[in-house]
Amino acid sequence: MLEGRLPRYYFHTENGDRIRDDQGEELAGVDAAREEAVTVLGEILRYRGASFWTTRSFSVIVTDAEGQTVISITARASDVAPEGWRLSEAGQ
Amino acid sequence: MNNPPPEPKIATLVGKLSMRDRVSPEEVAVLETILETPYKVAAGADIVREHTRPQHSTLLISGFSARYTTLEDGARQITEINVTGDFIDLHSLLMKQMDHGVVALTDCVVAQAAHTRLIDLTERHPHLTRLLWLDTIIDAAIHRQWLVAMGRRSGLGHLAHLVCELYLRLQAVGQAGELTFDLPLTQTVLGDALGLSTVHVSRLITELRGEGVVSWSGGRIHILDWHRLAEIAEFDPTYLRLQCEPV
Repeated sequence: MLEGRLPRYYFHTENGDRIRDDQGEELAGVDAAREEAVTVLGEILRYRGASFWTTRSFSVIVTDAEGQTVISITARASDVAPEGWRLSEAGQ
Repeated sequence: MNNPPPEPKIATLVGKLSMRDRVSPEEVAVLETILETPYKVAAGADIVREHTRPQHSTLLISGFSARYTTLEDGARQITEINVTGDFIDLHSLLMKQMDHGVVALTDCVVAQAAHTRLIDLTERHPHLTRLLWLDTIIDAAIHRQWLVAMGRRSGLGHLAHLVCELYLRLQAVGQAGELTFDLPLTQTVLGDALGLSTVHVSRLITELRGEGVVSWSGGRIHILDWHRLAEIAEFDPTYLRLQCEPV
């Protein structure tokens, strides 16, 4: 089966607690891993609610079969706007 | 009463229907007659294809199957997991065209009942008709609960709800032990059922295990703390209509 030849990616998470993914998932390539990383981030954050403000940060780190980081994605909570953001320029 | 035991092919269906209301020996005989010779369907194969117009309805005799819809990008949503004794497309008798497909999640054994014979059944056996109607109504109730879970339950609550539901449904057809049952489904399949990524499902299983609520390995689930599991799931079994009450 072709499926057996697909690369395997591991989706670890970090929000103070580090959860290591030992199982991984076979995906078509790095683009599919990027897509999956966003999905995982979105799904997990969906249920975090106010508790997200305890850690204020949540990352999904994707590694390949050799343990090399392929991509990572982070969502952050803050009391200030991202650098360079101005209300007057928003919503145009 | 000395009813002969129902033949294996309809034993689980009769067992399930009998739990909800008495099934007469005559009604058992009717079910026995309308169902044709069982055959095997390999895991991964469609039992009923989307958009086809089946001329018969199919009873799942053993294994697990799923109702599903596939989106254009290939994403699959499972809308119900079916277990032994489920009439998986009884509604095709009246719906005519399938609005979804049914796939074998494991190797399955199924038997068909021709629509012409089912129509005949509805004309001659009103009580048995109501029992089968109830079965399709319960399918709809299961869909409602899945909708609630999909939209509003937390990931952990959703997974816990599915475990509670499958345990009670398998228990109802004699396929579960004391707080334990086989669930030989991959995390990808569970993800398609829960509408969650495989990675998230894997984390949720770990979390449920970590809470000491279930042990889950090699496709076998042991519920270690039913009370806590039901609490996480906010599980109310009303929708499964497990009580015996005349229809």
